[in-house]
Amino acid sequence: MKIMVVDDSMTTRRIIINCLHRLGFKEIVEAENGKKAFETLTQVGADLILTDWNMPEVSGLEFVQKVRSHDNLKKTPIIMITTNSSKEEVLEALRAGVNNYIVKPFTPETLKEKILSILPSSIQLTGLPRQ
Amino acid sequence: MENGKVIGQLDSITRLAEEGATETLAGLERCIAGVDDVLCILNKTKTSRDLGELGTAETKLQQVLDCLYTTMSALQFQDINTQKLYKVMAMLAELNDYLNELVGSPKSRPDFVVAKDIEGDDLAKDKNKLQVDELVKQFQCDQSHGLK
Repeated sequence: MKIMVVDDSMTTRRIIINCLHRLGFKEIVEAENGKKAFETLTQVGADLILTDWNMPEVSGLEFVQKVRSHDNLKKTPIIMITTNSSKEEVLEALRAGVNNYIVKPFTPETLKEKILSILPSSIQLTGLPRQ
Repeated sequence: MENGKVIGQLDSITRLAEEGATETLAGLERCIAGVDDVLCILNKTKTSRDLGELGTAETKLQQVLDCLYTTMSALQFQDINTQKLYKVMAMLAELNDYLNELVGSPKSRPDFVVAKDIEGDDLAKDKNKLQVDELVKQFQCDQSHGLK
């Protein structure tokens, strides 16, 4: 299973990627903004996207809209991980097509829970962080 | 531009940096103590040749691993502070534009995206989780009933 992590903060990308490794995901691609993410996505694809919102060039929201309007990519599950925390912003992201939403700062347990909520139940995660 | 907002944001940034560093150091100290415990158990095992304690050592190592992941997640303060700094920079750019207008100079264009509402005046994690979960659930429910 391939997961794409999109965030302009290298620190956050590394935190997320390390959590994903612990959950047993080995195949991870990363991008620092929506533009690069979309280019990479059209080339290599992904089974799940974790994206930030506030990024230069192409924002996370625009990236989600581009993915949702692309014939081959539109069904890819997306989780938004962002500092944007108002009700309006959460609803805006949901309307744009994200499947779930995490407000920073988050715990590894929340990341696990949100991923589990949108993955097929047949997929078993390994090395789960303890509750 | 409100002067108080800028000062408030800068104050929050310094506080978050301090809290984040303190949380990270506390986590590292817990990890060091955990590794010391494991080394102690392994030394005892080496001397006594009694392997019964290896299970305890394994549990303690697992706890150290958990602690390392928690400590790593404390570093999110860096990303949140960056967002807050962008907000301050945007406010200062506004002030700059205002002053430039007075003397007829062109407007500045910040090349970063500014968050409207930033979570985290403290570093409590998952602060809005229940509220967000409820919104997601409600939205999905409305969608499945064709309301939105």
